[in-house]
Amino acid sequence: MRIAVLTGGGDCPGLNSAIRGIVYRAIDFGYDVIGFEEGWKGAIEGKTHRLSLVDVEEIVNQGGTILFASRTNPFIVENGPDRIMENLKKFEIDALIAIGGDDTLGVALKLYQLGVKVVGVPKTMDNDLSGTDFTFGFYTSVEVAVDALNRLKDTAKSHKRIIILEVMGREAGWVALYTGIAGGADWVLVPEEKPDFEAMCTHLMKDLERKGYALVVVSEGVDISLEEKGEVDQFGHTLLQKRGVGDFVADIISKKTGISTRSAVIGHIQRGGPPTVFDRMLALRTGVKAVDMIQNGEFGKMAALVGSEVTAVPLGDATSKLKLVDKNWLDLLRVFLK
Amino acid sequence: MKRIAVLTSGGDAPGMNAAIRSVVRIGFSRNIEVIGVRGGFRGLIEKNFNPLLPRDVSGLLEKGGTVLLTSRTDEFKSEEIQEKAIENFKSEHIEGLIVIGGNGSQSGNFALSKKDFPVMGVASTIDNDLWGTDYTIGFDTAVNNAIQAIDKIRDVATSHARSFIVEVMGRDRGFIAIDSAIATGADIVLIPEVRFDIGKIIKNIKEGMEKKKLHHLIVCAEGAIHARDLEQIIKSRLDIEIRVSVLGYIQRGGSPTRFDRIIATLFAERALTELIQGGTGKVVGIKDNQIVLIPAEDAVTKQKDINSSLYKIIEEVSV
Repeated sequence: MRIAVLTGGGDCPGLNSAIRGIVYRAIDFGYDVIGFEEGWKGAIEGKTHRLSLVDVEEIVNQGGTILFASRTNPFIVENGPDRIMENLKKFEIDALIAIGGDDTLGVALKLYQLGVKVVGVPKTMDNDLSGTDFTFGFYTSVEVAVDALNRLKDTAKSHKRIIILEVMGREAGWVALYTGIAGGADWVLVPEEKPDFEAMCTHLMKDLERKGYALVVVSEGVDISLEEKGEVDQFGHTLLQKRGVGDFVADIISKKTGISTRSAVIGHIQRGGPPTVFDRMLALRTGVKAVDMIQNGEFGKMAALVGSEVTAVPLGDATSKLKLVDKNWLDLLRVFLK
Repeated sequence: MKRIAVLTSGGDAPGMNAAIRSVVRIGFSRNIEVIGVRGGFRGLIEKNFNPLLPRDVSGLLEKGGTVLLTSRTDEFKSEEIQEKAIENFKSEHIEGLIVIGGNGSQSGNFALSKKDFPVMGVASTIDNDLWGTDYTIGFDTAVNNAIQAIDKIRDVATSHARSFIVEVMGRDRGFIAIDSAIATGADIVLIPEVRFDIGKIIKNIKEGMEKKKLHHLIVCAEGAIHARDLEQIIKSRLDIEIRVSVLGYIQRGGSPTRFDRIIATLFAERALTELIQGGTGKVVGIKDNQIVLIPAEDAVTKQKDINSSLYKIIEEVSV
């Protein structure tokens, strides 16, 4: 038996741990493991990567992915799926493990429907995949964001200011929510909820009065298109789009309160670095489970954390819809906005 | 001297709290009452004074920012305001002042000491741009914060074979940029002090690509060029995947490093000792591993040079 592994989409901490889990478990069953480089691109072009014990034994704490990653979608590349199947034949691969978020797993599902023996390992920093309680990478990135928020607090406090931290999260606000609650922010804006800038400013003024500073966490995907449109001209609007949501919110606060407000964007810092213990454990466990699933013939599924167990969940559960921040979570958030 | 005041001014820097603690604790053991001025020089004018005892500064060593709060110094340039500050000191029987801050803030030191009010400065700014000292309090932490962030970006760069432009703080000076570039193995560094040649940068990246370099890392000081603008220029001339990260305020805060805690404690001790012994109009810094006194006038007016050998080494290391 020979299996191939690839990492698709954006990189996130824990990918290497998952690869390590796969290779170690494969040894138990006497499987051969090879990697495809740069996600689906490597599968299409036949770019392979050696994955033996020595290649993975020292990477448990390494950020990024030794297999490289890309956002290539084989279903929009000419003859993409056919070329992948040819390469699977050429390299005598019996089963494929795709590590990735909803895009990568979506491709995995389609290939499975075409007859490829595929198993998925879910990953996303945004934690917005359905069918799994958590994905590795999320806690590490929230840890980085909370650390950044704590640093901003030093400056906000010293200068009696309001500071905005913009974090990743295009459609789901999990990173902002966790960062805001765990970091003790005074207001949090998530894409799931239409921003109420009036309420936010009133609240922030109260915080400023009481403790001399205030912190706001904003998801990059917060809807700012409709609000305040009248106040910006064509030129200003394009500028703001370029400058991002954090600056936009800072401008609104400056205008509404008369207090000069700054913002910081965490961006790509959030993606890298060594994974936390939780993410390492989860990644190793899902890697091991993925190989177990191949051994059991459970294809078309992914190794997902449900409760405290890693179990096989249909790929369709992950890719049908995003897991978004719901009312219960927003209620919890409000407990801490006093 | 029985009673002195301490203030922090200008941009906050990690280690300012450690310096405040040192002044208060050492002052106490030498029977000197220490008054904290809240909100920098503005606090002097508004008479925002609070006595500080050793227990008031417990747990401050590891805290970023400044518990005394800070403000910018523009209004303190007026003589009238300066007279008012001295008057406020006299009415509270305060005989001397310690100013913790960067070169802008030490102009307050220079102004008051010229009017015969005893002032000693403590060199503290994340920018490290104070003449006469090798390092200022906060610089080491800021650079370490930047390095930590850039290391994470490098993971992304390697995984995606993508190049990055990282913008670090430094409106006028490139000290943070140079140190973080060397420590993270950046290929190119852009600083405000050195005019850069965009053609050379493009050529450099092109050659790197020919040499099968997977990615390029460019560190630029905000005052040299904005990372977004540089991104546009490079994209218009080269077919290359390049992303931007602006580190911004994240560099400022956080717990000070061992180096910043130690120099903060030592600088503050020396400033206090000098003040008691009649010293004034000077700023405490470090040169060749020795604590030194810099005339406040020099600290305010002279420009510190960048270490050009460091700048050159980056080019050679990034073959």
